[in-house]
Amino acid sequence: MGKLRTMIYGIYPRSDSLRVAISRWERGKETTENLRNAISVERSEILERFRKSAEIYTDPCVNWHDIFRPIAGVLDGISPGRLERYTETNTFFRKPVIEKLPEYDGKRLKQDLPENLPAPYFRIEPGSSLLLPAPYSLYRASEDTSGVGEGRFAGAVMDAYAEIAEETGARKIILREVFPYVSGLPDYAAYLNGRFEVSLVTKGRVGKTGASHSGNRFESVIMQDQDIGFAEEAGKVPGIPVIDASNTLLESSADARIRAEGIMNERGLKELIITTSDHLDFLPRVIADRKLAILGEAGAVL
Amino acid sequence: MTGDLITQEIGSFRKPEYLSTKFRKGGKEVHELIRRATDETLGLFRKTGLNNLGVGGEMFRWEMYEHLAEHLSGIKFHGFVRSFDNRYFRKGSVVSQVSRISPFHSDELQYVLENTDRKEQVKVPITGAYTMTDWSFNERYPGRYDLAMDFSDAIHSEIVELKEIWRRSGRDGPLQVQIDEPAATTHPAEMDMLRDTVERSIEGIQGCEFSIHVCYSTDYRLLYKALADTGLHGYNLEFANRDTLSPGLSPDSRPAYQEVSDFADALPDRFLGLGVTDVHIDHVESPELIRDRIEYASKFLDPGRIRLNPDCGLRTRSRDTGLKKLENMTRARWLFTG
Repeated sequence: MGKLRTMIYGIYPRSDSLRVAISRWERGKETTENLRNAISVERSEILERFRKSAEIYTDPCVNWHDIFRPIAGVLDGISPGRLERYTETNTFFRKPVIEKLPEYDGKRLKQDLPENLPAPYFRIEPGSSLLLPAPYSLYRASEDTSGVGEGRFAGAVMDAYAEIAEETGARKIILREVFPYVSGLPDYAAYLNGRFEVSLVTKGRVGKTGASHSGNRFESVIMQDQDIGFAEEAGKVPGIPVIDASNTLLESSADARIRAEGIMNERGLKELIITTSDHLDFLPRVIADRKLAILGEAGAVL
Repeated sequence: MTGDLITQEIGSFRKPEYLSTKFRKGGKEVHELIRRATDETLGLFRKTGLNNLGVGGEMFRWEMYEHLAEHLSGIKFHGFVRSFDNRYFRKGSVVSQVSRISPFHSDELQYVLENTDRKEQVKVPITGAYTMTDWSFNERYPGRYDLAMDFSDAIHSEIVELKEIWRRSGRDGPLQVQIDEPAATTHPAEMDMLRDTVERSIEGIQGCEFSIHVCYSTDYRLLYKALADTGLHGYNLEFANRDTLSPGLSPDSRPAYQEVSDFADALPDRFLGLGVTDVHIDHVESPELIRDRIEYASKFLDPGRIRLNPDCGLRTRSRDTGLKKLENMTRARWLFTG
């Protein structure tokens, strides 16, 4: 019998009390320091839940309005633009505008950024992973007014990611690919492998070219929309979603576990990661809490 | 149906704090506050010179999804879900068959008709069936289509009742009904479903002017193609959000309004409600900038087929900012018409 590992990543739904505190802050009725404290308390509480249910986890990112805005604010050369609809969940994000080849600006990492909630935006607990939007998705979500192009952009962003990871003390990085790839996998792993353990959570088809590079396999690859075989090729540990982040209907932890074990047996896997199909941010908080607990039960971490 | 550069609100306007802080408590006191806020907002709209007063900024409704859902059976609320930034709505879960259990907007329309002059234009926005489907968690129906059709039936019943209130009021002309479908083009593969929901929602209802409101779409052409043969008379759409803030009539200054040519080509006999002010920024566009937007759009479409509106409901801005945006919109109309 192999090992079933659990992963929770991305933006977690805010509690009603934090939501109200932010609303008061936006109307000038709450100080920035008070809100920073409220964010810190909420973050600690959620991290405690994460640790109970998941072996691999990121910061809950409760001070992120969307997955692109903090990184767009930290990198020099990108700014938040108009509201854009993310059609899958019918939520919105500020469309980043690429004005020039992005550069990491160390000063901004701990600053409160305009169009964002109070910093810090990238925090690491011992053992946790640093969440970053994969460069392909960041580029695809953006408006490139500079004409730098996807390739140069991705390279510059990966360099910046390495610096952010160094500065925050991260050893493990989870890249979140929001959009499916049109072609093959950009060779992200080549940039960061050896220095960090890089996992990829993606909707897209992983191209074999990048994935087959010797020594450049990801630590893990979680595929959402296709055969797990690709995840096996591209990552040391493959993963699958067993929790639906787009519906309030609750899964059975037993069913999730049986499904995962079935895949492991069928493919002879020693390890398999189980996780959610997306950030749980798109669910009511009470449902997210229950789904997180179910994930933990399925992985028998509880 | 004509455009004639009629100025209109899309629907929602920020509630005064005396109402927003108490709205959810309900009861007689809140009902009085709703009426007071509606009176005040109608008054503000009149001051701006707005031609169509809508329903006074939707003071009777907390939010476009939740308001309808609360008048339907089959929907359970688990809590708030983010729409964007720190804006949240109570997204419902469909747990049993959806059907209309009480009127959505009768009291609102009745009140507005009693408190506006017979010659003043009003327009009732109703959240559309497709958006209700897309914005619900579906725990019950095997497919989205059947759920969308049940929402459509509920909306049809509502429009029939609103039409009866309108008839009893003795007002001239058609009742203006705006079907709000912000989710309309988010799933291109479902455009036939969208068309079927619109057709089912308005089927057989005479004496209404039907428009649809869509915003933040990635491709309005999908909409024009899918709905061309429905009974819709007009399309109230967002454009300003994707335009620049620089005045002028060059294509670089007015990128958003180049898309008006698609509308002109696709729907030669419908009116276009042109979004000329962005509801997601506090910057108040000048009358001159808005005039340029109208002028640029009129290169493609006869002004007789254009109405003027904000991109979307102004509830996201403060009342003061919303008011200034509406004022500048009406000033821009005067500048344009000379």
